[in-house]
Amino acid sequence: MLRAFSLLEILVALLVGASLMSVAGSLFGHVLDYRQHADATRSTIAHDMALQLLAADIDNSLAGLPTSPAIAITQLPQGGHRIALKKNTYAQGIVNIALRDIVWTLEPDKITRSVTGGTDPVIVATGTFRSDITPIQTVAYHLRLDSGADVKSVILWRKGGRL
Amino acid sequence: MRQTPNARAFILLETLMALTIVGIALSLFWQARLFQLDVDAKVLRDFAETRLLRDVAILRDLDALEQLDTRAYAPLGADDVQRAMTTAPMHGGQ
Repeated sequence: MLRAFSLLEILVALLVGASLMSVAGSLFGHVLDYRQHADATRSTIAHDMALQLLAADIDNSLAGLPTSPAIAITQLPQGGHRIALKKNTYAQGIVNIALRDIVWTLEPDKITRSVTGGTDPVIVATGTFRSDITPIQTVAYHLRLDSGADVKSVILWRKGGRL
Repeated sequence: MRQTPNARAFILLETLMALTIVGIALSLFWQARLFQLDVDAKVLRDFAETRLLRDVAILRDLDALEQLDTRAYAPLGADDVQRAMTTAPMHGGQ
């Protein structure tokens, strides 16, 4: 025999439905917030990694001849900086270690690193930031990355002392 | 003779078990999220500490500690920066 839902059953169903929608909506909002937060954190970690890699490259770069600097820093026309140095390193796809040119570009929307003989430049970090490099006593540089939300800085200095 | 289908609703125990499983899944998801946030914060702090100690050591070698940008080592606070300025080892000299 067919029987319609009673008022109590309908009310309970509506209550359960409303609770589920509320929980699902809240969860969805949290997931979106979490994703935004996680993306921002990953981006910050990538900037930190880029700075550490760059500092390590310069730490281990080879000195230039007495008349030439060990690293060459130039400003890019579209904003940002280009840092070139020489270092004993591997290149992607090539087995042997050798003295190679390494070029870092700090562009307004990405940081890349390329090695001569390797493949395309590797994008180490992305985001929107402004780079600023100031010399310290002619033997080191102070690099600042300003992303608007926060500022990161690292001292570029070579173990040999002279840049 | 006509046979009526044996329609049966979920019993209370089945409903409670289903709700428990959903609750456990949500709880695990939430814990994983908190753990991920915790790991991210630790990684960020570790990176900032490494950078700070290295920069302090170099600037101390160069006798230029005043050039340290204390705002550039978030999430480390001013206390952490001050502590690093007094405890960081020398970088190795030029």
